[in-house]
Amino acid sequence: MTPTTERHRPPAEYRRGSREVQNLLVEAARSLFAAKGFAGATTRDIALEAGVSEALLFRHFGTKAQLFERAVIDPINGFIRDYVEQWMVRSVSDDTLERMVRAYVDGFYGLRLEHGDLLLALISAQAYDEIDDADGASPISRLLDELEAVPTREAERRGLDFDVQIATRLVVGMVIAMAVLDKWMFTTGRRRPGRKRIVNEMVGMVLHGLAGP
Amino acid sequence: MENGNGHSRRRRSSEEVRDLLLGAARQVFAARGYTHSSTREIAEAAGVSEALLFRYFGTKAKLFELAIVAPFQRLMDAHVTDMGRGDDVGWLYDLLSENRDLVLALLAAQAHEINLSDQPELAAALGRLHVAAELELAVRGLDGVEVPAPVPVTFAMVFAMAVFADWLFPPGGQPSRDEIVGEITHCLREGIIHHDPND
Repeated sequence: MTPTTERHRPPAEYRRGSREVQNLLVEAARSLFAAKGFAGATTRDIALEAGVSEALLFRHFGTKAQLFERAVIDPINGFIRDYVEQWMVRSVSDDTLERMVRAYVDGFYGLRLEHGDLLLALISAQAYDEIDDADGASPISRLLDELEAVPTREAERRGLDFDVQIATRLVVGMVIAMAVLDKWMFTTGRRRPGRKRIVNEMVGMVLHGLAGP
Repeated sequence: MENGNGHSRRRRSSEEVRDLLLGAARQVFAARGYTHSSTREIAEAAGVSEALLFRYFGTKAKLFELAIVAPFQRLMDAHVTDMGRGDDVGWLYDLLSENRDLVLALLAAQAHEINLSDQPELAAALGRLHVAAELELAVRGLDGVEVPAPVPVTFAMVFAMAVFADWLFPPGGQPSRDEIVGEITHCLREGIIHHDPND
């Protein structure tokens, strides 16, 4: 690989393939949406950052919402899809319930490390109904339907009885909120608990609530 | 919450102008966060001049504090007396869901936008808010159960259901307020998975 800076832009006479243009736009959109949110990042800024014309942006993506879907939602979708797949091939016959819940929560909390900056952009865009499907389903709720496969399977295997739909949302909601509230909850001057401690608290909540084991 | 009524003259009173600006600021900050909201946009949304905005509020940071942070702080203060009566989860849920705009604006500001060292007033206000939120939860108990350590986790769960339940659940599938509060309360008592302890 030739040593080149990340923000290197090819000379104007170099004709870029459409895949390359799309990648430039998606990269630029990702960083601007993460920094400014859906409403705050303009397509003009994104095109400028990518070094392409705004007309080209619209030719490739149609609307700002579609670009948002590709730049912000796709990576989060990808994370959740991989996550579900890993769980479905995982052998859990010798796992205790606690180990299983820990792995489930810890794995999902990893979303914060990989895509934490995108989560807030998603939350604020979602709050203002800018990116729903025609049927009103949010991109995340569709994915959570897929994610339900994991607790459903575990409930069957272990003979547990709980409302899978609500339980899935409570756990995922808690984990996402812990991720986006990180700075709010652990402000300067207080020791921020490590990932292990935070995951412990969440696992305890799932298994026992506040009363403890 | 606001007190800009009582004047029916055509010329707007200073209270009216102030309220118009505060209302506009709340909307604009909630949609765009702090950094990317301009005072010009807020003044336009309020239908007053930007010069007037600065005459009333001095700085954008002060406007943010008065439009977003102070109302939230007042709400928390007003609700303190309601706590400890057996429905603390419902209390926090209602507080957050009824003030979603304020909460989202605060969250956006807190998360990545504001260079707090440049904004001492704002930093102080956000700090107060943070401490207030933590204290509220730290003193609450559930059936006499003390809740020291898992406070952030509890807060996170209620927060998620109050602020983004509408997109966690499929369309039409969102449980009612009472069902949500009931589920969370149940979860705090026994955990989400209601399992046999001998498992």
